[in-house]
This record gives sequence, C-alpha cells and structure tokens, in this order.
Amino acid sequence: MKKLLSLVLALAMVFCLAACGESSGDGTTASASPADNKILYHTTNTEPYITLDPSTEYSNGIMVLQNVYETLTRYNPETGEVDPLLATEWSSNDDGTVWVFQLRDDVTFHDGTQMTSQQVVNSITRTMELGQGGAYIWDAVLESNGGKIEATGDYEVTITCGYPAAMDLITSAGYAAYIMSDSVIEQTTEWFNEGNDGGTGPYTIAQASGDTVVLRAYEDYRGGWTDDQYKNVMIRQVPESSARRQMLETGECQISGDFSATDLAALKEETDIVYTEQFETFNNIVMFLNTQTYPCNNADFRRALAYAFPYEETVTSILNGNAQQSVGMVPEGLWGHSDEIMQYTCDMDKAAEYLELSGVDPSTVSLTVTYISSYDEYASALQIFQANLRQLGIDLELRGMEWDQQWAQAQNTNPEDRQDLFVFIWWPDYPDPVSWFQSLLHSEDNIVYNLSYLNDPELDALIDSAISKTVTDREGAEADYIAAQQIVAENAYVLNLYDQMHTFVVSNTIQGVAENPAYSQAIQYYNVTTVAE
Amino acid sequence: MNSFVQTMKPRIRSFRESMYLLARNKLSLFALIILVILVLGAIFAPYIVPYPEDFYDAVHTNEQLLPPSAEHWMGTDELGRDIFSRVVYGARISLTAALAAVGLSLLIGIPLGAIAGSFGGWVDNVIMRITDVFLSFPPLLLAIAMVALLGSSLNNAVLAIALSWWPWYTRLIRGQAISVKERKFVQAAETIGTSRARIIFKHIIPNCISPVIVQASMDIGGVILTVASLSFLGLGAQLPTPEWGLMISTGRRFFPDSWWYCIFPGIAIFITVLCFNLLGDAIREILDPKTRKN
Amino acid sequence: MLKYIVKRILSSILVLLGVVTITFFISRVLPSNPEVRWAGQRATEEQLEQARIELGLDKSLPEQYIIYLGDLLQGDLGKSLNNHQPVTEELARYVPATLELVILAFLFAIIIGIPLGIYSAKKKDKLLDHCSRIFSIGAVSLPTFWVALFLQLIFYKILNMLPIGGRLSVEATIFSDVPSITGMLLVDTLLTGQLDLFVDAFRHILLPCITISLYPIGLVSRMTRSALLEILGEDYITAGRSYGLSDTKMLWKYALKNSVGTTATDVALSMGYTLTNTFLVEAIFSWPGIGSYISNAVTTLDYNAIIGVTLFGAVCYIVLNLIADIFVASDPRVRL
Repeated sequence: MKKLLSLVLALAMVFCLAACGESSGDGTTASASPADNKILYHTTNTEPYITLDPSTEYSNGIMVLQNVYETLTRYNPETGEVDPLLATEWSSNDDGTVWVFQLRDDVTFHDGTQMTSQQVVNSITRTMELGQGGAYIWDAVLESNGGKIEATGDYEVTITCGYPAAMDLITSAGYAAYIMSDSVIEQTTEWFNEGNDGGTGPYTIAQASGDTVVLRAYEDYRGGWTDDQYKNVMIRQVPESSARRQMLETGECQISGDFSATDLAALKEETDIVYTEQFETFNNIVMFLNTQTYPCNNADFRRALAYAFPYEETVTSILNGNAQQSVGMVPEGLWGHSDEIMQYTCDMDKAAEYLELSGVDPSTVSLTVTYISSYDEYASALQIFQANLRQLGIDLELRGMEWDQQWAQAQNTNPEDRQDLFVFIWWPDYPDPVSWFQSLLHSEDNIVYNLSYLNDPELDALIDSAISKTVTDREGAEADYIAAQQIVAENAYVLNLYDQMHTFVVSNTIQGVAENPAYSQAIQYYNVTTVAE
Repeated sequence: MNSFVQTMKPRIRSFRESMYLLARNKLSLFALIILVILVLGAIFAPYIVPYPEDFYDAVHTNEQLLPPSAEHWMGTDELGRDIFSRVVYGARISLTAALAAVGLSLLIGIPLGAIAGSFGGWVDNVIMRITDVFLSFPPLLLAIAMVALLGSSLNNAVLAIALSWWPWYTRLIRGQAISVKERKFVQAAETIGTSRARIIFKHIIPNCISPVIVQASMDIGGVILTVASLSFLGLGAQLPTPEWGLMISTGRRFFPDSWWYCIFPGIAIFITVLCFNLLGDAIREILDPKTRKN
Repeated sequence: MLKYIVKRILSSILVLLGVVTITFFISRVLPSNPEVRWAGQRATEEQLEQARIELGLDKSLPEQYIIYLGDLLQGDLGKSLNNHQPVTEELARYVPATLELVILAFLFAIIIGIPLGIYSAKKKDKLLDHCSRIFSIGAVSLPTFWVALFLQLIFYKILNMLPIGGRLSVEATIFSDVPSITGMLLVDTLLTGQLDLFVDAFRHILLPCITISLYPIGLVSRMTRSALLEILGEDYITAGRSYGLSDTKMLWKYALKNSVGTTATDVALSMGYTLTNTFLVEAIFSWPGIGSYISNAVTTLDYNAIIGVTLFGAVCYIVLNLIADIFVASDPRVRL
C-alpha cells in the first residue's frame, strides 16, 4: 500500500516538475471604490479572439478590438453613412482617388501619448506591410498600385489611391483599420496575444488567455467615466448553450448570445430576469451551385433546386426567427439592397416542373453539398433540403468539413472533383456591396471565391460599371448592383438562403447593449450601464 | 483498455464446459441475451421500428423535440425524427463499424504477428519495435490525429481505429506462433520442404488463431465506445446518419431541456458496451481457471 | 539491474523516434492544406505562397523531416495554424490544468479503487463482489462524454450544487492573484495559503474529476482483485493458511504486497487512457487543459496543434511505461 502511494506521489512529482517550466500571469489585486469592482460578464459561444493583433486579426477578436482600438470613421446603421470617430471630417477629389482626413486633437493612447497624424500613417502602413487578414482593403493605397499615405499636417492625413476607392467606408472597417500607438508598431502578434495593447479605445486588455479576455477601463478615455458604467469586463467562451443560459438565469453573467432554439425560447419567457435584443447583420448564407458540371450546369435543374430549398422552414423551425430569407445578395440595411429582386420560395410542385423541364433524370444524379461542420444550423437546414430533394428522387450527400478542406475541394483543378453545392457565410469587410459582387460573382482566372464558377460577361460588365461609379455616382452604382442581382436570381447561379440576425439575451440589470451590423459580434461595452433600481 | 487483457493466459476448455460455466453466471447469460436481441434489432431494424423513414429520408419540422410519449418512446430530435427508431438503427451502424474496425485490425495484425513469431530474428525485432511505437500512443489519440487529417467520415474513423488497434493482435499472435512453431507437425512440414509462407498460413495461423478471435470478440465493446467517441468529437459518422455518438453530439445543443436527445443514445451505448464487456469478463474467467473457484 | 534500466531507456528512445516519424508522416503526407489555415479564410494567392514558405512546405519531404527532427530536439513543435502561437508554449499553458485533473482522478482511483478491490477479493462471489464487479465493468463501459453531461444535469441544473465549468469563479478570476507556481490551482492556492480560493477551485474540479475517475476506479479495483486472487491461490499462501494465519492477515501482509507490482503497471498504463478521456470531457466543462485545446484544434483543423498534443501524449505514455517498468524491476522479488 505504502509502495503504491509512494509511486503515485513520485509520478505526481515528476509531472509537477514537468509543469513547472512555465509561469505566467501578473494578476492585479482588487482595490478602490465598489463601482470599480463591478464586472460586466459576457459569455460567448466561440473563443473571444484568434489573435489580438489589431493589424492582422480577422475573426472573433473584433469583440475585443472594437473596445480597445478605434478607427478613423465609424459606420452608422441608422443613416447608412459613416460618422466621424478619430477623424473629424474628410473630403475627396472628384474621382475618389485623393482623400484628406482631419483628425481629433484630444485623443491619447493607453500609453499616455498623444495621437497625431504620423501614428495614423504608421498604423495603416504596419497593417499594409503585414498584409494579413483584412489588409487587402488598403490595396488601392499600396505603392505598387500607385497609392500612398502621408501625414500632411499634425492632425491631417492624406491618402492617395491608385484607383478610385471609397476610403471613407474603408477607414470604418472592423478589421485592419485600427489605429495604434507608435510604441507598439514594432511588436509582434505574440506580444499582442500576451494581453498587451496600444489603442485609444475606452478599455485596455488586462488579461488574455485563449478562452478568456478581461478588459479594464482606460481611465483617461476622452469620453470620461460614470459610476453606472462598467470598468471591468470579462469575455469568456462557454461553448454549451445550456450552460450560458444557466449563467444568465443565476445572474452569473449579464450578456450572452448564440442560444439554441429551446434555450432561447425558455429565456424569452423569463422576463423578470432577462430581455432579448435582436440585431440585423450584414452576414448572409449563400449556396453556390456548380455551374460548370452536370447537372448543375443546367439552368432549369438549378431552378428546380432553388424551389426545393426550405427557406421558410429554415428561418422558422431551425433558426427560430433569428434570420430572414434573403432577397438578393445584399442584406437589408446596406445600400444596393432591393426588395424588388426575384425571390424563390419553397414550392415542390414548381421544383418538379423545372426538373421535368430540365430533362435531367433524377435517378442518375447524386449531388454532394459541402458545408462547415461546426455550423449546426447549416446541417439542420440541409437535412430538410435533403428530404425535399428525395421527394424529387434526387440524392443529396451531406459533407460537413473544415473550411480549408471545403475550400480546397472547391478549388480542385479538375471541375469533376469539385462539389455540386457549396454553403458558406459571407460578410463585407467594410460596408460596401462590392465585397459580394467582386469576390463571389465576378469571373476570375484562378478560382478564389467565385465558387459557382461563373463566367457571365453581362454580369461582369454590370459589376465593373458599379465599382467605377461607387464614389461618384452612388445611385447609378446601386442600380447596376440591383440589375446584377436580378440576373443571379433568374439564373439561379447562387441561392441566397438567409440573412443572419443576432440575438443577445441581456440581464434586466443592464442596458445599452447594441450590435452594429458593420462590426458584427462586437458590443460597445462603454455604452452599457446598470439600470437604476 | 487492453492492458489487463493481454496478461490473460488462455486455456481453451471444451465447448460444453464453457457453456455450462457461462450459464452458471446469470449476469453473463443475461448480457448474452440482450446482445442477441440487439443484433436481431440491428438486422431487422427497418421492419420493427415505428418510423423507419426517419433513418434518413424524412424530417417533420412540426414535431421538433417532443418529449417521450406513447407515439415517440424516446421523444423526437430537432428535425422531428423519432429517436427510438434512430437508436435502434444506430445499433446496426455501431455494430458494423466495430466489426469492420476489429476485422481490419485482425487482417493487419494476424499476418504480421505470425510472421514475427515464426521467423524470429531481425524480422521479429523490426515488427515488434513497430508495434511498440504504435502502442506508445495513448488509445484514441492516434485515431483522432489520423481522422482529423484524413477528413471526418465513418469509414475514415473505422480505418483509423484499425490502424491504431492492430498491434495488440500482433503481439498476441506472435506469442502463440512462437510456441506453435516448436510443435512437431510444423517441424515436420519444414523438413519436407514446405514453403515458409505456406507454413505460416496453413499451419501456424490456424493453430494460434482461437485466442485472438476470443480477444477480438472481447474488444468489440471498447471499439464501439471508440467509434462513438470519435463521432462525438465530430470525427466519425456524418449527418443525418443515426450514429449514437453523433446523436449525443448533436443533442448537446438541446441539453438539458430536451434531455432525451442525449440520454437515450447514451444509454444505448452503455448497455451495448456493458453487455460486451460482461461477456468478455465471463469468457476470461472461463479461460483462466486461476481466478475461478475450486 | 542497471544494465536493464539502460537497455530499457535506449529502447524507449528508439520507440520515441518511431513515434516522431509517424506523427511526421501523418502531418505531412496525408492530404491537407495547412497554408490555408495559416493565412486565414480570405487569404490571397501571395499570402498563401508566403504561408507555404513560412511553414517550410516549399521544401522536399526529406528536408522537411530533418528540419522537423531538429526543431523537436529544441522543443519546438511548430506554431498553431490558428493563432500562430508556438504549440510548445500553448501546451505549457494548458498542461497543468489537465495534470491537476488527472492526478486528482488517480488519487480518487486509489483511495476508492484499492479498498474496493480488496473487499471484492475477500468476499469473492458474495453480493459485494458482484456489485463491485458490475460497477467496475460499468465504469469502463460508460461513454465519458455522456457521463459529463449527465453529471451536469444533476449537480448543476437540478441540484444547483456545483459550478458547471471553468477552474475558478468569475470574481476569483478577475480580482484574485494566484501566483503560478505549479500551474495547478489546488496546489498553488494551498501553497499561498488562500483557503477560500482552494475551496473555490475544488468545487470547480469536482465534476470533471469524478467523470474521468470512473474508469481508473473500475480498473484499479478489478486489477487489485484479480492480482490478489491469483496470489491467494499460490502455494505459500496456502501454506500460510495451514499455519493458521488468518485470511485477513494473509491478505494484507503478503498478498497485497505482492500484487503491488502488477497493479502499479496497470495504473500507470491506464493514465494514458484517462488522459484521452480528458479530451472528451474537458470541453464540456470548459476546463482549460490540453483536452479543450485538442478538441478546439480538431474542430478548427489546427494540424500542428493536433500533432503536438499527440506527440505529447505519446511521450507521457512512454515515460510512464518506463517508470512503471523500472519500478517493477527495482522490486527485489522480481527476477529479470
């Protein structure tokens, strides 16, 4: 017995020694007034960040970065225009190639230094040089494209573009447009991931460890602080919907989202503890049809599929109203959207009609659809689609996979080895519809995101025309985009399944939780306050 | 999980005596009966379940997540499918997957073990060092790594399990082969100039295969658990396959409100694996008289 | 004896080399596109090309193998494809939490499993023996991930007695200062005398720990039982009996001592299996250990992280085996 125990202890010691190799954390102790100890606790379904590097992060980290860093301009979902943030005003020449931004003169970084035009230039230059994540939004400014960015005054930045670009929209982007202090310009992603930052926003990062981020108030923030705001914010990943729900119910956390239908339905009943807030997003879910290979190269067959997809059932039964069926490519709320564009409904009779018309014998085809397996709602919707198609005698195989596998198959050099149907989510990097049209629908020499493999000259012409008009003739551009969407719908090149909505469940003790569709996932914690008793 | 199994010293008794011993142990007999029912259920699933179309073909979005009732004994899932029907059908998937995985491991393990045992020398050394390498991965981990990179599917999961499971059989059969090799009939075959391959496949393997088959049948439970675990991690069966681990993984989103979605497939796994393990335990006691009374 | 240990260590190193080769082949030869992961979802062709160079994928396979071996010798497992952090550093951050869980589970296993095994052996074929047999076989038949959900249902949802996830409560995470000495919170809080935090940490570890300790409890009790029964059948025990020594005395004084060797080996080996179980359970309890790390890596296909954890697990397993063998060998009753 003793021997055995001593063996276990010895093993334990070996492990301890092995584990001793590292040490981390410079936790700070509690102090100051009770208001300072108030914690706003936000639980998320996904990890709160991939990296914390303001130049390269291109994922969930927007939740953190939007509170720690700021951009020159900020999109206003009410007006559909951008508002001043770090910049006070801006102007461009007639063709949209030279932009001059005036900056605020009362902004300090978390390290105490004053923000000047040179730091703005250095920040954007760093992002361009690293060239990762969303950095491509600055492509027009790249030297190789004939662009440049320079400080033309203490508080004035001039951006010259190689070709017309909507720079006011670009500077409002949720990724790759953050302004940072000179003291962090040289730092690496690893340094940022250790929980360091150099922003101007209302919060600084106090701790960051994979699934948890703790934010602490930047006391000198130019907006000032009041007692009903939260000076401590914790964002933590709690993957189980039921666990997040329980934490809201017990008052452990105050904000959460991404609930399963049952949990959300239950929470909606508990009005004495929580309330829900629903926000539109610019995220939409699209299904690409492989227009290059049999049978999806047949327009009538594609229309048959379009009529067989369970749009309404998906929105009501799978997403429980957390979405709406898309009309066209561009989601509601963003310019370029129109309710007049043709929309398919689930109609099995029409589907059968078009299948007949297509001349395709359903028993000879077996379709495959690829999707990212971690998105449960795609799987559910596709299983209903699968059952519908089986009514038509068409076999559909579901292949849930990871993004890189899904994408690699879609880019296979042999078109026969590619999937028939491809489901994914798309969102714009800055509030401009060009993102959908240029990336997803325009013909390209090497397949990147044109995953319906389109090569439609009429469509290309409309897109090119719209892009050239964006800065100078917004209405003309809008008309071109709408015409392009009509072509896509009529030919069923791409099925626009649904526009996502985000629902947050919020404790009754707080108010001010809002999500801006241009910065999907992010909440401005600075605007959250306690509700007076 | 094989660690304690490999120390077994098989002593095959007569069939009648074994059946007697098995029958004497009521618990094992009970397990055997349940297993027979399970296998029959798996084979005849489409004819005995109330909603056979719910395996693959149908969804009923107006009957989502109904609790257990007279119509749906185990409730319904998020697409309104009858969980009882799917759990019964799941037995077919789990059992075939486990049989395939074990069968594949035997296919790799037996020839390698027989070759190692009968050749001896450096051949033996090389083969046994390779099995050492494979056995030095914690169970499941090697399979996780392989499926993750091969791409998730039930076939890949079965393949990965087989690729990490075979060394156990190689070890076992090698030990047998070494002793069989010394037996008179093998030496006789050698002296009349029978080829090495012929000796291995004609004489050695048939004469040392029974303990391996016994061992393999005892491993089925563990393999079922492994298949379910991989599916639970999203590395096994694909939707809408009614695989038990996958059902629990999907049901987690609706847990604990719709507890039936996770709980019943879990019970199905538990009962199946438990019965296999109880039976395996009984077989071991029968084969190894030392731990038996008298 | 010394010769045996040296030989054993040398063969372990050889096995290690084999393990490394297998992981290399899994990560490089199986079809995959790590550069897409590395460069991100909307990477351009130039970014992908850059990624291939950064990941060393532009070199030939043998060259990559040599580089891989060299990196490993320096403890470099490559960088996570997701967040570009060195996998070694990430592991170092996640390992203590998992060790804490596994070690506590094994303490449970020994405290509960050994007495259970002894009593089953003593009361062989009585009711208690049957119960313990069913329990231990049941424990190895349960899907661990399902047990985790079940325990959460009971202790969190219904009884609301224990927390559902994490290592510490929110307040403790933000406001307290636990210095990282061993990285194991239970130990660190005790060492620094923060008793309230120790209790907090213990409440958090309890459910995941119970979940993963079921398997080792079952195993230890079964092993103890069968080892004891085997020894009780030996001649010297029969002889002892004929000298009139009581069964209880025989059991404790001779049989148990002699069964330690076999049990210890199996305990060590089953640690590997328990480690694997944490992979299925940690994510359910939001336990920030390597289990959560690998299940995250699996869902995001972070090849380097998956391979890193696999290699780490194998190394643990080899070392445990080595220790168990040397331990058994150093037992004077064992003749080599």
